Amino acid sequence: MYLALRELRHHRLRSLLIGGIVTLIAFMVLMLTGLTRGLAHDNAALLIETPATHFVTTRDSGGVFTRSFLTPDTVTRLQAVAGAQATPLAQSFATLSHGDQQLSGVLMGVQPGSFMNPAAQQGQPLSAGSTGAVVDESLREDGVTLGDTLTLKPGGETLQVIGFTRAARLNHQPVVFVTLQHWQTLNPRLQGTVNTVALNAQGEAAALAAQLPGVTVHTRAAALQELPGYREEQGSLIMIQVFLIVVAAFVLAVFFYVLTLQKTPQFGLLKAIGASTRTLAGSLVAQMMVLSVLAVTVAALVTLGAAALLPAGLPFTLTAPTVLGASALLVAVAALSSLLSLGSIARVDPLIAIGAST
Amino acid sequence: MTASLHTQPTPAQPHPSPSNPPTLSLRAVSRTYGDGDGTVTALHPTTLDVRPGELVAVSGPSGSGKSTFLALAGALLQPSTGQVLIAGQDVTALPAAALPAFRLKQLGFVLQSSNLIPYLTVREQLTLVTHLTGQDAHAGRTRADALLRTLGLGDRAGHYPAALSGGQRQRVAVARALMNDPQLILADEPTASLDGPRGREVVQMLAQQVRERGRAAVMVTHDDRVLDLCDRVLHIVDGRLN
Repeated sequence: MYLALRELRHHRLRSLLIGGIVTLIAFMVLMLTGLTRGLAHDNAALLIETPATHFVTTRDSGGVFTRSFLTPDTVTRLQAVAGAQATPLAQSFATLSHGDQQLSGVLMGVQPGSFMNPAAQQGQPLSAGSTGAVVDESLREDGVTLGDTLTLKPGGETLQVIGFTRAARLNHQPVVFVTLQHWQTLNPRLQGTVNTVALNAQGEAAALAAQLPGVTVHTRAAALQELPGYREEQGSLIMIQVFLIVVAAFVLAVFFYVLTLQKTPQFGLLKAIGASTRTLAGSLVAQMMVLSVLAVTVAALVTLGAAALLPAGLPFTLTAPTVLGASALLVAVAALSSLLSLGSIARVDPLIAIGAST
Repeated sequence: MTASLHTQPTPAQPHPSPSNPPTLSLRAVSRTYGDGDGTVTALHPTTLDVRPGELVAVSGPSGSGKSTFLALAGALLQPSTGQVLIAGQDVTALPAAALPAFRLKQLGFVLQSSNLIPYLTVREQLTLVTHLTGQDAHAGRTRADALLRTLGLGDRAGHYPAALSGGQRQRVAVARALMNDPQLILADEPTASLDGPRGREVVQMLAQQVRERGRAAVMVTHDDRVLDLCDRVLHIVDGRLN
């Protein structure tokens, strides 16, 4: 640290420039992380924050809920295996009119007493025999308020909004929860089938459920990946982030490598005096760490500031653990990128310190 | 071939006593490069003793083997044959990994012009040595300031090398070489970038410190103007010292 800090301080402009590049890259990585998480939430908050651990679908559906139709018989057998840890869910897409506004949503039938029944943030949760709807809070932005009436198109059935819940989005649309019984009267064509059965169970019940004929049990994470468009959307954003991190690693590695090559005579002198390779390598790693920790810290603060300025409709989600995780990854990448220079420090021969001009 | 040592009258006291064990002892040391037909002998077998309190100059033209000689004496290069003893320790028997620590404790180097670390102040150039040996920072600072005062650099302690004259820089280099109180000081063309009076000043200072502290020093130079300040002058031509 003796040499590391003094050198950074003496070459202020150089330190600021490289620190600035790392800050900008870290800022981009953090912003993109926020957007990636935000889009994931906008797409499928329901599956990200659900208490369910597994979802059962028919084997031929490939895990896509809208392609899976479980008969009442199968549901009964699943519930016989898993008891209250299993609850059926039915899903259909709906167009709702609210005044002269047309809204899209996912109409979802849940059993009122089950663990999948959404908690109401405002208003009342669904209860047995209820004909109202608990809807996602994002509908508030469309002007929906408690007690409003939503009309299902084109049939004209009406649903009264009795409560708002959070984290209920699926396929980039707000979820409108109704009781399963009500859902089935609204969707008579489906003849009592449901799309999936959610399990809130560790290994054993899930393993037993998987033994039933014609069904597949998916973990929550696997079901999320099967959601149409989810993997593609996340994939492209994650690829950009990976590229940025690789670019950050290269910029740092090359920058410090060039500096190291330029400083070869200096390293020769220090080695002749008696500095060990370990001391000099430690000095370089310390510089890398000081620069990257400072740069990532600044980037994290700027990101948190920028997040507060983003328009409300932009899907952006960034939690402290995510920021810390991404920052730690960037610092680790910086540490790794010093390896390139460590080799050339080790190869410097103190002999070059003498007779340089002869 | 054994070098015959050409001794000049010693101008200063205390006179190195022949009974003192030598600080630097080269025993039939040679160095060759390459193998087979392409073998080049940089230094023919050389035997030399340098005793405490003695400043020995090694003078010769470019490419005569001066640098090889200094590298061997400074434990920077292992000889092809023979033994190098510094302060009683056979450095040819030390593992390569132990050499930096040995140099740090026993040797002081004064090198050519680009000799200082650009981002350290004059005082820090010196305290770097105590930092590397892991000694107490406060004691190092006190010692550095005392050395700088002795060498007339007391008012330059906070300056960076870029703000110093060439002569001042070489005096800082001498101070740094003395910082760890080494047994042996090795100087490589310390006057290379200096004019006559400045060069003499630096060598005079080096000679004075060597004698006062009872340390040994070897200076490689082709600057004839400073040879009279040395206790002995050896000439090296085509890798042969005499």
